[in-house]
Amino acid sequence: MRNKRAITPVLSSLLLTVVAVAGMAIATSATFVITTNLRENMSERVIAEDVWFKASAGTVDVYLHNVGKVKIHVLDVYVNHTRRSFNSPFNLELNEHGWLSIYLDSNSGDLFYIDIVTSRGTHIASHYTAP
Amino acid sequence: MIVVMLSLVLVVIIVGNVVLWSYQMNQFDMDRMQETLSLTNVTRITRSSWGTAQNEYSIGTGSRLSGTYTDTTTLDGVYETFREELQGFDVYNPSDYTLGGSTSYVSGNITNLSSNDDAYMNFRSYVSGSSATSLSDAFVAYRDSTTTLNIPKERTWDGDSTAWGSQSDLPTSDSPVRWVRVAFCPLESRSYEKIVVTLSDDGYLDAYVWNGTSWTATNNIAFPGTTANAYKCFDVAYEKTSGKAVLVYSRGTTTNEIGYRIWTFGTGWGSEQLLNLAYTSGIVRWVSLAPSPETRAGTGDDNEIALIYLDANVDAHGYAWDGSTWSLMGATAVWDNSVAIATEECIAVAYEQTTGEAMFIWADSVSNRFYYKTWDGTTLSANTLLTITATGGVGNWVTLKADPASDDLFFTVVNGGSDLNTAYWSGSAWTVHTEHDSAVDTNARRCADFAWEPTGGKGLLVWGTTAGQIAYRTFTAPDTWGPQQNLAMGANAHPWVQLRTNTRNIAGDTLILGAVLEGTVFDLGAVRWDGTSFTIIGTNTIASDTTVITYECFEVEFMNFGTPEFTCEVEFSGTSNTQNWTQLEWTTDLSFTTADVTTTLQLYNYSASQYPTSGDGYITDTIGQTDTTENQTITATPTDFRDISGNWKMKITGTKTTDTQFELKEDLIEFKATTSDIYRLKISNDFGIGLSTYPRDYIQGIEILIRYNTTEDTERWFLRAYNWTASSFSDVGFNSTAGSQPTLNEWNEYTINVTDNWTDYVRDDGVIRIEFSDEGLTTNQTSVGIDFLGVRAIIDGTRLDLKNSSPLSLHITAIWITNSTVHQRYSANLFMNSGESTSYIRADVLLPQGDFLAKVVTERGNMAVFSSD
Repeated sequence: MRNKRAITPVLSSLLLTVVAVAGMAIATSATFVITTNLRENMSERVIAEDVWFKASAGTVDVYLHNVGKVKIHVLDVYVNHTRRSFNSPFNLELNEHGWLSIYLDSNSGDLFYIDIVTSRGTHIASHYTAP
Repeated sequence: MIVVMLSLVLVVIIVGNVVLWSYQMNQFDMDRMQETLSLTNVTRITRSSWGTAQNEYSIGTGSRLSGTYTDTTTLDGVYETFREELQGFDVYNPSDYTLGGSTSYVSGNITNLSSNDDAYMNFRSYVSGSSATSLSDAFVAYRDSTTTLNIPKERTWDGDSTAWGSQSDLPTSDSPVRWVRVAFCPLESRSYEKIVVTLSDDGYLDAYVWNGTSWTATNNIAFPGTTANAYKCFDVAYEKTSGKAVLVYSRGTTTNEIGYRIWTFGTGWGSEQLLNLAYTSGIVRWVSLAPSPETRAGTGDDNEIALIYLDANVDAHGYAWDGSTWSLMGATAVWDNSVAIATEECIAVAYEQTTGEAMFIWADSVSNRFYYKTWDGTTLSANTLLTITATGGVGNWVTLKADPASDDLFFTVVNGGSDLNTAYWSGSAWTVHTEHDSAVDTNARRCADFAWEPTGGKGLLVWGTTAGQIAYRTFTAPDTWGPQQNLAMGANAHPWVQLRTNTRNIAGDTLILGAVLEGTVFDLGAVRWDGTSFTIIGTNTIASDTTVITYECFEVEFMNFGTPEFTCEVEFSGTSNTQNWTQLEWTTDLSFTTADVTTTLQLYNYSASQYPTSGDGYITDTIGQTDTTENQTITATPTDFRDISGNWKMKITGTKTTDTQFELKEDLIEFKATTSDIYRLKISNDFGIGLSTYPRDYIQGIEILIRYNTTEDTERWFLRAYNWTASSFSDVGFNSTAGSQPTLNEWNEYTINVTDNWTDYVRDDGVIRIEFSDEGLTTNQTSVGIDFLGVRAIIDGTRLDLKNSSPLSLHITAIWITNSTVHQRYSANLFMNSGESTSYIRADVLLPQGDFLAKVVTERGNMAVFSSD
């Protein structure tokens, strides 16, 4: 005897399809988002062409050149693992270059480990000695 | 299921893209790691590289002796040599010309004489005289089957070599030639001119005029028709004084029976004029003309020509042409309406050469009877009977020849019985001679002829009487005869015999020339008489096959003058300045259309009021068909060759004794007056500075260097640059304007720096024009060898020596120059191949004083560093 309250086979198939589509859409979107972030992270290339210790101005200027394939945004600057302020916001379009001024007093002979972090987590870090 | 599959595909694509991207970035990093760029040196530079000549030097004054501009691009002792030339001269070319004598203009214009470029003015020569010593030439025109009978042939008798020349063609008559008549112009100025008229199978007359270089044909000039063309129904003769020729012919009609046309030099043939015969109406068959010798008193006979004709009705009558109209000479009726025969030429006319009286004579229908009339310009005599009893019949062929030196005439008749008889006219009476032959070769052709010797009183009778032989007798007036001589000539009868008297009296010349047509083989042979010997030149000397004996298809005529002397004379004139001259150089380049023309070039001497005949202003040479440059420099009172207004004139005269008219081809006439005796050299050239490497904003000046040597050290040498703003050469802003004093026998280096106002010397494209010149002091001609001449920019820039040791090419995008006080970045755009070393020059990169650090940055983010300490 038929249960009159049960769903019909057509409706059942339709519901299953909707669920499948929704599930795959979520999976595809997640894949796209994840891979896009991954690709942007991989594409970041920034070099520091020059470092100029301006003791009189109380800054250390780093000349950054975006040689990667995505624009960058400098999120944080760490000097000797201490977060320092800089001329924020500092963005570089593709192949753009410019001075990043870190507000820092320096003396001749001081050794600094300067770590510049982009918004995607790329680090441009190296040791520099003040001349 | 489908949705799942599609989604999986999308995921795979997205992931694959990421993988590919990852690969690319990894490749980028790999390349970056492989880049090996080294900056080996960084130095300050103050000069750009040299800009040297890229084209040959322009010579303002002077000349180039050897070498090329490429020899001046490196300091290597290989040099280009220039030489000073006289400066301060003006070159003039003619602005007008005047023809001398009867020289005629042919082509070109006066502007063609400004340069030696094979663009000519042509002038045609004229007959300026005749050789008084050259032996007489003659001419024969005839029918010949070579190529075609339609084309008349001709040969020239060369008196000096006593030989007939080679056969030449006249223009075609378009129909086989039958009868031929020839006339030579009686004017010395056109002694070369001759007219040939032919009558052909088609019934048309064709006329040909030789103008000295070519034949001018007038085909179908008249139409006697295909009935009258069985007879010599035309004749041509020149008027003695005017040089016009009159062609008289039968029109083959019974009204307006005769037509005539006038040939005028420079104009050509006039239109056909008609002569409606007053007392006859038959178709004219025979026409004979005789030009007056112009020996009667007054001018009435200057251009008189006597005409006698014979028509189909056996009527004989005559007219006299006075140069403009035909006269019946008072006749009121036909002269004779029953002449002997209408199918043979039994009429003749000739002028007594002293009195200038004309005699008309014809054979009557009564045996042994001949009638004649005389015309003295006023009165035409009545018909007068000449009886030659020995003929025994009516005359078929009669001729009347005038003694060139007297009033004597000689009458020859071949009658219907083939008898040959003659009679002599003394000017007042006849002497009838004993019959010469009773059985000549034919009575259907004129197989006998007589000609006087040029000196008169004597002559020669020639006739055909035996097959394979030609007979002749000498005659001395009034009735002295040499024995009959029979010479072998061919193998057949000789139906046509024609003799002509030499019109000139030159010692050793041929006195009488003759042409003899042989039957059966139709050969046209030649004979000559030199006063003692009768010579058969050949049986077919003139033609090997005329194909018929029907017509007198040839005529021989002597030229009336010796070999022409042609002259071409042109006077060119122009203007010049009126300054003092140190020298005058006059030059012409010319040629002729014939070889070996004696050429005289003369520059008019205004001081002497004449053209020089030697020395300055006079050049003579023999010039032919190759362009020849004649030149003369006058240093002694050169101003004698101009007038007070600066006018000058130059006469060119070319003369040659030749049969052929020639032309002068004038290519260049130059009159070069020098106002200074100072030798100068002034050369210039363009030099380039690479503004892309050395931007104008970073150039601080220019430097010019010349390395040279000279053969004289008495004057200084100068460099100047072209001011593009002022459009002139200048030395403003030069660190030295004193010039360079050379030392003999060594290389001299002369350097100029321009740091002020230098921008005016550099064109927008970086070109700097440099002029090198002498001081202009010496009268000695100096040669200058230039080993090097170049310009370069004065800069304050940097040279970076780079080496790319990586296996990849690289792109340098930035240069850093840093020290304690300056961190200067310069954008760069330099590509380097793998393994390449280069010196990268930057005029805009300024190195600091003291120690510095230089870096170059590649596009991939690598750097090379150079420290100056």
